[in-house]
Amino acid sequence: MKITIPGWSIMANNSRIITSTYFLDPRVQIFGSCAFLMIVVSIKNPLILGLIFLFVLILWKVNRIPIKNILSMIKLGLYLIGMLIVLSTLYSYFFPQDMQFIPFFLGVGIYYEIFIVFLMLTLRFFILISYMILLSFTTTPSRMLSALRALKIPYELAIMATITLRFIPLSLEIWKKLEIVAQIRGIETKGFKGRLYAIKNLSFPLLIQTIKRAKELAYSLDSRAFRSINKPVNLIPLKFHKLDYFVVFISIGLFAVSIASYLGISLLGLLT
Amino acid sequence: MRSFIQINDLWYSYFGARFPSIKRITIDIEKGEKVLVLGRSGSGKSTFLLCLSGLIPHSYSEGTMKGKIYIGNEDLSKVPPYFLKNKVGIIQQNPSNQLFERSVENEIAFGPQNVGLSVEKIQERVSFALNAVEIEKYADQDPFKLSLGLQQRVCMAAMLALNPSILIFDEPTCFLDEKSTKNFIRILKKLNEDQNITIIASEHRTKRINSMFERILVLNKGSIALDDTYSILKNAQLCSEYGIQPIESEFYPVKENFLSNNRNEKVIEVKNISFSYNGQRILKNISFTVNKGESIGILGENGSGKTTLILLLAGILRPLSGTIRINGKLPSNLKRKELAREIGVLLQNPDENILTPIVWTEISSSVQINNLPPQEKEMKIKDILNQVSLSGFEHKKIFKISYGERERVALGSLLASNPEIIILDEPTVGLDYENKVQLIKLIKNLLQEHTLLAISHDFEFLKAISNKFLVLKNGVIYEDNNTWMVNYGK
Repeated sequence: MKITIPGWSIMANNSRIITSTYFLDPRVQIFGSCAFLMIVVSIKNPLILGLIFLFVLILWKVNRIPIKNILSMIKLGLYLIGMLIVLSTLYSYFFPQDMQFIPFFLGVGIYYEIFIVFLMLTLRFFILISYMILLSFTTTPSRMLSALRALKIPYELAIMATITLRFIPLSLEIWKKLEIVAQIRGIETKGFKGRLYAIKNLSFPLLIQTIKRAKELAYSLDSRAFRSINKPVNLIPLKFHKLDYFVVFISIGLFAVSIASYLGISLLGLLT
Repeated sequence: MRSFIQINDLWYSYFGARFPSIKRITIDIEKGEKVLVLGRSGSGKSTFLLCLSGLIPHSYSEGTMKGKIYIGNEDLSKVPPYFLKNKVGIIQQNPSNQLFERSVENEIAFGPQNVGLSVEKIQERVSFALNAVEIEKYADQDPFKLSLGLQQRVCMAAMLALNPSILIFDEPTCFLDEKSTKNFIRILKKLNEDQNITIIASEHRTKRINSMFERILVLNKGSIALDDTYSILKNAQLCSEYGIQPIESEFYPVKENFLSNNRNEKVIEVKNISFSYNGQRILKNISFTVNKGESIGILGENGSGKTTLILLLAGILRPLSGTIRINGKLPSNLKRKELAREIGVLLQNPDENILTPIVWTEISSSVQINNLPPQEKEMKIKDILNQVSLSGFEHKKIFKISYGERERVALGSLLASNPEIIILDEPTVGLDYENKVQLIKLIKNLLQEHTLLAISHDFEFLKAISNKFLVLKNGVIYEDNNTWMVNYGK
């Protein structure tokens, strides 16, 4: 019997496009994720953050992850901007602030500084969430486990991280089911009010159901000899390819640029 | 000489519980025996199986265990199950909650990897397990995308790869259709005959799997009440005493006088609807009508599109083509609140239907009740709790009450919207015989005022509540107006 590299065989069976994301060595995926996280945190320009978010969405599209999973998040962001405009307008009339107010029409507008801070926080949040979902969809648990163990992470911690990653799509599934239950009872979960209701009232059952599933999975792993030896056999060989070196190189480069821009150093100035 | 499995005076109490979950259990089980554990919900079956698997006391730390379990010569309370020479595998109720890999072969390889076998040996074990449960062709596939029957076989293979001497199943057929159940029993028999594996299982639907087991253990209030051959299932009086289903039991079919008199008005009209998901055609050009006051049983194999159909009727999904009319109106033209008054759905597994932690708040979460004045609201909730036989449960925590009671809470929250049409998706899953009888009575009472559609693999339950059947097969629907002519499973 031939043990295939999981991501590849699953893709072939489900006739989806095999993209380079799936072929990346999982160690590179972990390294790239850390670099990406640092880049996102250090960038202070909302335009660049917006471009990065767009880039992640393109990766979603390329990897055939349904974009509708993230549309609701974007809609919520737009609603919050709407609220920000209402609050800014009210403040500009009743409690004027010492900030730049940009009117759109008939005195309705927004405080520029507040808008920029809000935009950056929201974009960072969106990027991290969408990137985590991308990672969980394009990395199989066994490959992630092998990578974490190759990086000398203790086995128990490695499996916890792997299961967490596996639970992202599962939690999305539970959330969708809970929305259906609420809708069946006549509760609207779409639109601004509906979303707020969903976040407020469905988070508790989501937590309960996720814990229940996690417990059952833990018992299943225990009955499959999990923790019986310190060094379980690593079934999947990890090997660097050209693409992996390229991604590492790009990650380091982008990370250096973002740190430099964070510290206010002009790389061009350094070179000349 | 010691028996293969020897249990001496076993007790287990959950922290905070007033009574022990199991007590004074002393039995011997020989190698290769096939034992069926029966009893009411809450009689201690699952706890007993968890003790036998070694998960209690090594993984579960929610109570205290007394007594001894020996497997061979090894004391299970001292040796964790993975260090035993005679390994024990347990497969719990819901197979999808026990999987985590993205390919079947990796799921199966997980166990052998953990015991440190060589790569060649692991590959050999994976091949053997795939072959034993006949899922070789699914080796590369994502286990989460397989049917529940196949997922259960993946779980079995994952245990078989560890070369166990004992396999334990907790309600193995509760999510399976008739065909998958037959396959499951065939494979289990083969494993028992070829590998001499000891099989221990608990089950409520005795009729489906009794042919497989030669020894029956009946648990009552945590103790072994009966230890006999399966012939005791023919004794209706004894079965009734311990709340188990006798083999020759028969539910009475729904009588005309249970149904509403006005059955000429069409309440559901489905015309040529089709639905696809991920490019796969689930429903193909389906048409049927349901008249007011009818009670329809919907049958079909796992994955035949039954749940998709009810989500379409409830307006959650929209058909690709064709129209659905509920009381003459298109679901897409109705607001959620209005639609909830027309049609109410109880989804499979009550735990997935529950949104709040307390019975009272759960019933009142329906918008129809939530908007009532306080006094009227209180009266309405009490009335619903009375209807579902849960008076006195108002302030109980939902996850502390039994599975059957949770099922009735979920039904209560559905009735809170007072929908004209009620749809139930697999309502008998996980229910013991007594709770099932109670549910049938409750449904028969509801039939006076409501139109009912019920999906179930439990044919005898459907026979008891339906006056007409719809059979879904490969995305196509077949209508059968004669209850007794449906030959389900063929």
